[in-house]
Amino acid sequence: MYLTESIEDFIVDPTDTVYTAMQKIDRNKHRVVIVVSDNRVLGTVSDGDVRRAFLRNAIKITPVSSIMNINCITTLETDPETGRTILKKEMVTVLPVTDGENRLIGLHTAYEPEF
Amino acid sequence: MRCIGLITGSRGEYGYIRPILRLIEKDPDLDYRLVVTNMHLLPSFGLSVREIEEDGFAISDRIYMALDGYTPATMTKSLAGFLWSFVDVLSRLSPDILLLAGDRGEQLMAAIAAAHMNIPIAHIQAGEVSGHIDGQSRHAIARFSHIHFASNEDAAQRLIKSGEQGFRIHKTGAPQLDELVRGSYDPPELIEKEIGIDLASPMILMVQHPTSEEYDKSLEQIQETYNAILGFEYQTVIVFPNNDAYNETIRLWIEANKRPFIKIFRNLPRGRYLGLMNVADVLVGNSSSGLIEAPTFNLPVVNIGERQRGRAHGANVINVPAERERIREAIERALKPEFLTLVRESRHPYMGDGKVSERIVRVLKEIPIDDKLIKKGLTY
Repeated sequence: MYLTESIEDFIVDPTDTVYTAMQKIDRNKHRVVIVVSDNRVLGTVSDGDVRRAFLRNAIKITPVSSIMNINCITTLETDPETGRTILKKEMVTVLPVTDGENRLIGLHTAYEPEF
Repeated sequence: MRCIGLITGSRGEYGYIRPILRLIEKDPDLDYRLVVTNMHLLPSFGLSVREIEEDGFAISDRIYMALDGYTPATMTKSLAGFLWSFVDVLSRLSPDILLLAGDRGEQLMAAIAAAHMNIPIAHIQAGEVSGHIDGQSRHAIARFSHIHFASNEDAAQRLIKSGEQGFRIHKTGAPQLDELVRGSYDPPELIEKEIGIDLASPMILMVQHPTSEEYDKSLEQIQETYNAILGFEYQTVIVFPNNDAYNETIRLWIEANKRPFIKIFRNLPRGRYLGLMNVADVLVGNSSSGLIEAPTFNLPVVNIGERQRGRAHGANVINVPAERERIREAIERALKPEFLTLVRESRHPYMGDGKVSERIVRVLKEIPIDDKLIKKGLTY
């Protein structure tokens, strides 16, 4: 599914805390949030990233910028079919879509959202 | 039994001291006390203390020192914090010799503490040149040191000229080359899998630190390099700089301007970084590894700006100012087969035969600790 609106539960600021990221992951039900600053994609934080961060002594108020995956997969493709293929190939639940200069313009999700 | 104290604050000098620690560990007449500080203890720099733990070394003390902000003022204040703590650690550990490595600020602080506390200091990578505050720190450490380990003739001569007594200088070579000569780094297949690169296509490795005299221009300089690299659209691996002033600005800017063909790493285990150098087609930036380690891999280097100015280098290095067009041209030249041939045929500017650490350890073990060693005179 390709989403361009109502994606605020998928987005955190690099200065947001791990706790905020966990809350949003819990709300969006897609196991991951995208770290965005100035509309640019800096990275992603997944359930697994949070777990690993706690194993490395992170605390609830650690900023997400220090635990995010900076080598997350992004795509320029807005076509839902192509999006699905990449999601499957890369085994991710959410795929940020960017313009040529790394600005977030939407996202593909592997599962239908249960709003 | 002689006890050697060591300090490590970044992945750079840990690479020098690891083979030395291994040898000390094996020697029944030697023991060590390892103090871990600065970047090793910072989660945002990959918490590389875990690499030390995984290597199985006993860590005597951990000194937290880095203040957030990473401006010249917070950097200096962080050093003061380290000195404040280190004095107590040093009195408690009271090593027979303190072995310092490289040119980082915490090594200089440790030199100041040990010199005042009458503990003999030995210094690895003494006498080399690097054109910024780290270079000044290196030479300041030399003034406090009782034993200098020089990595080549050039460094040894510079120590003599700066008034150091000849008997203190040991031309041992560069210990960080030991692991390279022995091939202790990640093999290409592992790099391909772990970093996610394609070995069949050209690969650029970028490591660029801010330079201290030009902090205000640091971001601009990185942008010049980054934009030059973007034009190639080759797979590029960027390794983030040390926690020098303004590193945060640089990191955020690169992260915000990432492209799909770029991978970014905050801190890599040394074996993985060396493995990357081994498979890369060109190293771009201003890391000393381009001058010291890269020749062993026949890796062409585009060395940018002033940071390494005046330091001995081989034919693999193309020096350019921090200007996009000049950097682009230099990368193009570096990637040509003719240049690689030239690099392969050239001589390594640093001594490294795989036995450098052994020579260093032998000196540490056998040198008499007496008045001659402890009472320092300058030759002029």
